[in-house]
Amino acid sequence: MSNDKKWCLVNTLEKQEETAFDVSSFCTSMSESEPSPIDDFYSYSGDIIKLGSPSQLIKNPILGRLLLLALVSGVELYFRSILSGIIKHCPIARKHAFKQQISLENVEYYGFDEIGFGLLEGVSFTSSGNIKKETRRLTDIELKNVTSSVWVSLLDFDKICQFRHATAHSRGQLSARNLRELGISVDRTRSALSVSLKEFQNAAQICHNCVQAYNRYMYRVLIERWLGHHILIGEWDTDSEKFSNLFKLFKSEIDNVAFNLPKEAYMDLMPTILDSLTKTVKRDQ
Amino acid sequence: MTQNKETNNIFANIFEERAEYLSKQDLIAWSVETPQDRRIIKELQGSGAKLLIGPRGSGKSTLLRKAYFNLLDAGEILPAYINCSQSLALEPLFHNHANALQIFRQWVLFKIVVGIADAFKDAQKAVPENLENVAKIAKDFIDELERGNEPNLENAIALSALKHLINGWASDNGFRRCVLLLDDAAHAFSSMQQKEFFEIFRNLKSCTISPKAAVYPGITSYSPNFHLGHDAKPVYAWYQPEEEGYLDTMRELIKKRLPSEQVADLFKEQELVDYLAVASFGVPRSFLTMISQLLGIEEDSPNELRRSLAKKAVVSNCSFTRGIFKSLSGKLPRYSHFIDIGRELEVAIIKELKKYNKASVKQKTVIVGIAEPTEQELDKILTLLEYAGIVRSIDTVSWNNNQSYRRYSVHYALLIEKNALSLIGNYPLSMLITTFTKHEHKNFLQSRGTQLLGNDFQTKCILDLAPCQNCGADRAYDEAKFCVECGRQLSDVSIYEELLKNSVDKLPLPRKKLALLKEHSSIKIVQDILMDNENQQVRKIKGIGPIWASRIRNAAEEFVSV
Repeated sequence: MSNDKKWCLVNTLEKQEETAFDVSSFCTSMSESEPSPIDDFYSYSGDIIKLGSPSQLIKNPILGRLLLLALVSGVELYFRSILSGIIKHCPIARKHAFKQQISLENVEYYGFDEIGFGLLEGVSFTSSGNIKKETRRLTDIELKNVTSSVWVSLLDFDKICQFRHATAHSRGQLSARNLRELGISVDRTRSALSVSLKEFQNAAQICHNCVQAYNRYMYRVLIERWLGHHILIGEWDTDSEKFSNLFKLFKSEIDNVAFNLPKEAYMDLMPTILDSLTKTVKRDQ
Repeated sequence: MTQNKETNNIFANIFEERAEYLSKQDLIAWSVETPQDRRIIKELQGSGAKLLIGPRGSGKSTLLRKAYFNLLDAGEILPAYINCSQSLALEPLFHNHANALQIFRQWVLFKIVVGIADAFKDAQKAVPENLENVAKIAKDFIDELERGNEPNLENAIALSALKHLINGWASDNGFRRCVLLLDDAAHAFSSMQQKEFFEIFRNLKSCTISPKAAVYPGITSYSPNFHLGHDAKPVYAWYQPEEEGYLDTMRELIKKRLPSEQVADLFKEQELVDYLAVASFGVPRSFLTMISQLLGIEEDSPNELRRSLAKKAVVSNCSFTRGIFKSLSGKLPRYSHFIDIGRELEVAIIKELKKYNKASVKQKTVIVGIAEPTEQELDKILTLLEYAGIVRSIDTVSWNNNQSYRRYSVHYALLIEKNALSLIGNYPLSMLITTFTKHEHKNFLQSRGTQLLGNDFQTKCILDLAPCQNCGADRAYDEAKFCVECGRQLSDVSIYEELLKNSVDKLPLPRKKLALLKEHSSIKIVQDILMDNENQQVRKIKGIGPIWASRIRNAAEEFVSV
């Protein structure tokens, strides 16, 4: 027995062949169209959800797990996009984020407008802890209200991330740590993730809750912060550009709620703006 | 009988005021207490968790309020009366807030805090300082929520902390334990809220805290961990016309409520009073409404013969009861087909009872036994009918060849309306009254679902689920959250908000009154009635006095509440 063959008794050598591997063929240019991060998430998750038809999920038990993984990936991209957008449009966040270090390579690749993506390289958004940490690091905004809608959604998202972890790293087998984090007692029975239609739709709902609650929360906090710092002064002509950019960053066309035009939304906020400005003037006096 | 404005106001109070708003004096003066009531009140005052089960108007609030005042007077146990009827106004939160359950939970806990603070005031005792502080936060939270704003949960209180506080408030002030009396706790059409409520209820129970909650029969959704019987003892608050002393109780109720002049007038024909007592099917509120119609104190009462007026009152009670059942289509839209079949079931049962009673001259019955096992769909329909008070569950009996039957009695007003007893000609009322109050339970109509509704009834009982708002595709399953065809998130409208938008035509009110409302005011939808401060707009309409103004408001409130 030749030396080589001796080591092939456990699995075959024959099926291994050289593959012409052109990495660039795996890459394509990203589309130029720029929906808001939340709408981008909606259309991506919609495509994922369509793949999870009842018949397909029954036919292929692996599919549910893979789709769950894909959903979480969509949520992660939402966080990258929204935080990057905030750095671009909010002067306070930008000033704060500029304290961070970044490689020149990232500056060149993402450009100044999307520098937030560069600042988030190597960062994962697969836990509420990381989402809170990165929000604070890049925007100086604390997610501190433990009972708020956004906090509750993030805690639910944590659970989905445990399932993602099991799918990404061990083909769906749940580790003892996964179970502990999920609050499931660790007994002798090894468990694996099983995602049927109902579980898949619930997971998608939790991902949506997380994105929707964070989107609403950050928009509100940023507007309130702008008012406190006189970035908005209550005159449309002066405020329009700044406000419109922020509004468009957060606005979902798909949800189709209330106002579509930034000016309409601004006018609707006017009582709040005036109220806040009055309080600030009184405080300053 | 023409009444002046002042008298009408008095009658509006007498006939329309709800027990939860009555003072202790009025409550005692206006209600009767049967031995069964006393037993129930004792249960409510006692230890352990209890569920007080009965249809609307059966006197649950009266019993809870009496237990409350009794405990206040005795001074040994700290009671708190908490009215949860506004909880459905929180339902829209469940469609747009991920933390809706937390908000709802806080709302319940804070309502309890406010209830306990009120108890100290009602007992004319100083409210403990830390209770006053928490009650202030609680009131702000409740007000903020009722104004439609997302309340600040930073001051949220944990259930375990509240239990600790309650024990302190009780023991520091010389009370042995605390009894929480939660009224209007069960809503038919917000199952998430319901399940959360019963989780709270179950966890509140301890050896020093005894929660009691008033719920409706049939369709209350309990939480998966809540087991009726084990976690709470059921107590039934629903008079039965065949019980001994029933007619005396109802007669006494009138004597307590009405001025002596009206009582004397009414009791000239006591049979008519008894007839209405029977037709009320054990529901005092229905009885009083029919009495007001008989007395001719309705604002538009014609001068008619008493017996004819009484018959009209019974028919009106039938439409009201059916109206409650029909209104479930709006509250539980997914069950709208079940509700249609439920109406067919009511008609079929009454028709079969009539046939049975025609053949059996001496042994008439008001009971139908449905052969077990019953189909799942039929079970659902029966629970919906039970909720509306159209049928009343009696028991399950084993009959010939060990066939078991689930037995129900059918609302007596509905049986009277269709002459289901098959009484011939111009029969004396006494015959009808005796049959309803003295019938034997051993005689009953034996039937089954397919016999009453046809072999294919199950195929008609399909859930009515709204299609995808984006592409029109059917929902993949009952609780689907996304459309599997287009991937879009499915929108579930808030039932509460939809109910508010309903036309006033949906309210169980006479056509004539509805026409007046629409023609002579800007009131078009249910929300308009609820927004009409102190019924000012309604009261201006000619032909609607204080009695009907109250009745219209009550109908609107009930339409959006339970």
